[in-house]
Amino acid sequence: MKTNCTLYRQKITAYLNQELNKTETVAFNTHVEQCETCRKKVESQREALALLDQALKAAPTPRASTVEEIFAKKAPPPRAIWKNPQLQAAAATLVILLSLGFWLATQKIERHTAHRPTQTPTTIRYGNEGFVLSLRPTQKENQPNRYATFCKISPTGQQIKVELHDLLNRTPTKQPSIDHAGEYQALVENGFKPVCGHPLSTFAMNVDTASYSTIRHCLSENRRPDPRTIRIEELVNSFNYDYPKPKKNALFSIALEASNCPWNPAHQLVLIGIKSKDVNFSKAPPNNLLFVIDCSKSMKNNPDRLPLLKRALRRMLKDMRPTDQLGIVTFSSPTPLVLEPTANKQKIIQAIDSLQEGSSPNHTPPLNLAYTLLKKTRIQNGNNRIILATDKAPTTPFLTTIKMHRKEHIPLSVLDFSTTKNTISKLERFAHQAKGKHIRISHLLDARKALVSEMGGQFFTVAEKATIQVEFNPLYVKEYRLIGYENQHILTDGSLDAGTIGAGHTVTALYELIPANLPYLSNIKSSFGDLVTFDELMSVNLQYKRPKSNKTHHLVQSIKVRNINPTTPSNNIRFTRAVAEFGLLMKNSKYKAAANFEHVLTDAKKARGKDLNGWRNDFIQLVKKAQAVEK
Amino acid sequence: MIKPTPDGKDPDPKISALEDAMVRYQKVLLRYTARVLHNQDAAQDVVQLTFIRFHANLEKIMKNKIQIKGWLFRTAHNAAVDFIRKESRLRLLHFRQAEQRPDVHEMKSEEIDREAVVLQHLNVLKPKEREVLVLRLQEKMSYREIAKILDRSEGYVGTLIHTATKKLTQSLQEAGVIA
Repeated sequence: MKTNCTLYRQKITAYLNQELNKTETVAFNTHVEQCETCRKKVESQREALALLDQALKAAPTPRASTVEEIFAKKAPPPRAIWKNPQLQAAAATLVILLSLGFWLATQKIERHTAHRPTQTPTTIRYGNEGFVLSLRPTQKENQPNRYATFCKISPTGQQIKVELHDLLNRTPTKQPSIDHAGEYQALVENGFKPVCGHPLSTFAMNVDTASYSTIRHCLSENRRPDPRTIRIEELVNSFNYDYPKPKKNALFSIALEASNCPWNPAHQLVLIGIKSKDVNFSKAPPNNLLFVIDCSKSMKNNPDRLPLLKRALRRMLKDMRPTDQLGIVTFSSPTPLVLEPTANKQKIIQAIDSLQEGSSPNHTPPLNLAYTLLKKTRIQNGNNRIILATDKAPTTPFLTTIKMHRKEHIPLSVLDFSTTKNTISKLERFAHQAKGKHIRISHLLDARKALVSEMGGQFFTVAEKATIQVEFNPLYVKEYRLIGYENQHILTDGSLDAGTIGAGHTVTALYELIPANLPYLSNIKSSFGDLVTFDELMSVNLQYKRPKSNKTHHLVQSIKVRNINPTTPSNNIRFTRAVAEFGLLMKNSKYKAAANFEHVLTDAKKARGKDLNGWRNDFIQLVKKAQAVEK
Repeated sequence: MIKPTPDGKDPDPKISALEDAMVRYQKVLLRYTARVLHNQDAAQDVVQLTFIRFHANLEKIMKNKIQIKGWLFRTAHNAAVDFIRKESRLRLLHFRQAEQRPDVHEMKSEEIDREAVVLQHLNVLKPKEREVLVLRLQEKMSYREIAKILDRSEGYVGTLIHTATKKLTQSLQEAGVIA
């Protein structure tokens, strides 16, 4: 009965602890009566446990603390560490630190009773000088003020927020001059803001990418772009980054990374990268799209027409696969052909940028040309399609052209930018006759949606009113500066329209930080234990509403201090900071410090990665060009 | 336990709740942490930290009607685990354990205090093994209660207690303390 014995031996402890049920106990008893070895084992265990029980009862217990002691909890002095001979050298340093700690800890800390127990932070008075550390224990994740705030009590009993440096009676270390002016003025660069007093920084999630084209255009003409037109956030967001995809069921993913700041060694950079759920192109056949674009005055001069279409097209390029082709024809009569259908994204982007106002529209020739071109470059089993973007009603020759080409089975869709009812209905009928769709465009998202669906992808609105709120931990960050996003700030009344976010949207933001380098940090740590969040550098709170819902959702992500990585930055942050530095140089920013083109080139070259679209390479060429122009 | 304050004002309910909890559970917690950490000062620190956390989380505990004793034990457990992990104390702990490994030959002498020897043998066990034995014997907790404190399954607790008892019995037998 050997197996039985092993089985029962496993149960001895449970038996002794009376954790067996009745049947098990009976079976156990019967077995033990029969089996001598098992009985011995039971007895020895029973004896051991009884002895231990006795010993535990007699063992000394430490002295109990009083309530006062709890509140005046001192820094736990390092204990066993002294016994280790290897650490004795470090011990000397620690002694000095510890004596400092004692000085701080012996300052009587008396608890300030909370008036409203639910909201008021734990406040601890520090010494007789009226300093108060107003500590907010980590609250619910979605609430602002995740970190401790530090106040000083004025003689009248008011709490004044102060810098930690002042609180600890130390003069702050010298930092570069700081400009707080113009915080909310458009086109004035964001300045550094102190974390104390401005713990939250907010910006909206919709970003344009037009500025990059402007720089490109100017530099190709060998002139320096106007610094006022340069928007660093638009430059940074012109590129694709390799952010993690949102997890299953999640709408967004947030990537956070910190590194050193190439143009100011005393500062740090933090990258925030947010990605929304991707457009689904999985089953779409290869596309061959030919755009027939009306570049007349009425289209060009209205920012909601041609400029909007250009933005949507640029955005669409990011979604284009290598098998897709795109061509452009305009209504201008001398040279209607702008771009023959091609898969080369660089050529496409140049063509989009060069779209200029044409002469009076004569609808027939470009449409004929479009059909001929598409017939020539037709992709078998692909999505061959003409897309007409206009704000005018079709003319009669227009209709005849369609009838002529009906047999070729090339659908023609209409992107309708018009506003009059008559034109809309005419264009609608026209699109119907041309076997295509009629899509009204009045908004960037409409345009994106339209283009994605024309490409055979599935496009959906992910969120509305998406804003990003960043909170810095004053223990580590003294001041911060949001690079770019000058017109994006949400004012105190929260009135900024944050716009709607579609699928596959990414946003990148960079913060330049002045680290706090606090003295006595270890003391604060030991004095306040888990009342203060110590291990986080900052946290990002993404707020959004789902379409047609009033509920605000939150997604919070934070970065730990130990994740600051100065030596091996990822390609994402390396490239972003190169672009940002380039922006600072082109803008001739007052925050450019030691920025130079060499930094930009090294970082950009190292961060080139796979560069499937060739855009990063293009950027490097652009930087070289800028360097030449500057000289 | 609510005492009127000298100036006649209503006492802070949070403070009185804290005082109440301290009167009831402080000794038990100290007893427990002192055995687990095998370090009196550390035990005191951990218990103090536990009560600070208790005070900070009081509203939540009251609102959700969480059992105070269990909560305190669990928090003390977590704080003790943190303590052991912190600043590579784990290494030092092993270091100290090696130092204090009971000398078998010395213990065979008749005059030694059996209780002290048993405690020494207890301290040779891994912290978590020590912990379950203490909770079971000293605090007379059921497997289920222990499982809640450790945030593990009852089965895990059972296995742990079993191994711990076996180890302890064996080491006591080898030392000749028991037959």
